[in-house]
Amino acid sequence: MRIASALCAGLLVLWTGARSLEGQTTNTVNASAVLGVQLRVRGLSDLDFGTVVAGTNKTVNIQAPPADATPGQFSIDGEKNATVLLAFNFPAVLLSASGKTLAIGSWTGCQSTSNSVASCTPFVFGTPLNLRPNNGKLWVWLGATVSAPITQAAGSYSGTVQMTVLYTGL
Amino acid sequence: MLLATLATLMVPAHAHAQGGRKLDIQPQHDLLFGTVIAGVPARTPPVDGARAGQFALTGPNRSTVELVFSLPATMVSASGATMPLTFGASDAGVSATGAITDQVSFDPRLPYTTSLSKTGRLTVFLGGMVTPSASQRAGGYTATVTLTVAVTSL
Repeated sequence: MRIASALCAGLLVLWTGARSLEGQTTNTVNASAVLGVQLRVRGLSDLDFGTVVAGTNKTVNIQAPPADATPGQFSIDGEKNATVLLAFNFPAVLLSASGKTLAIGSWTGCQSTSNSVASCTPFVFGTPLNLRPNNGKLWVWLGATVSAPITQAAGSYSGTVQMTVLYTGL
Repeated sequence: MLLATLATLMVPAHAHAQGGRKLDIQPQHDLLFGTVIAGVPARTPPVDGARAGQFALTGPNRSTVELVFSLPATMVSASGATMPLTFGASDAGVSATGAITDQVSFDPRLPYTTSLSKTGRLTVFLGGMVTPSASQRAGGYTATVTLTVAVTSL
């Protein structure tokens, strides 16, 4: 009886030990992220209407502006092939130094992944756009129309267009 | 008397050998956050089949196991820059079928007890969130997530 008890105890220890060895295990996976390029926006050219005659409207057509006018231009640099949303803050009027106003509206936009207005594609404001796949670049041009009544005071008028760019897809 | 005692002791060991296999974990998929932007937190949920971390467990059929994650608080770039990495209460899940859509959610920050399937299998999924700072240095960041599994009952 003493022998049997001792043998049983020994077996129990061995079995428990084997279970412990097989009863726990460990492994790993990696977590990874790549920090992408931050967006950078630059204003390259002002939207310039040139000389506007009182009593007329003048439109800067982006790809065919009047001879004395130029479309506005922004450049965007970001992550390759990312999708971005452009948000604009357009003024409703331009202001003179003396506080006179000149109405502006009918804004238009054109975009291209190359810095060539001739190859740009008109876009609807609020539509997501893609940055260039190989370098994350995009160029944006703006046009608009100013409306000068016959009573418009002579002088220079100016305003500010603000463009904010947000990533919507990476 | 000796024979009877031996038989009693050996039965569980015999059942163990027939009921499954040695406990094992195999990593199936890294936890990926892809490209993230400075100042913009990015989360990978555990149900994201393309990005969630994934382990495949095998062991004794229907055995009860305890899962314990060792979770890093940061990811590190080659230059030593760090990016915070956090895990929430529902950032892990287990599936006895292996289907990512068939998960039971749990908190990876705490030990979790569950059971292997009748065929001795279990898949563990892990999500998380990175919070790059506004001045975060560009580049690749990595960390290691460790899962330890212990059989608590057969």
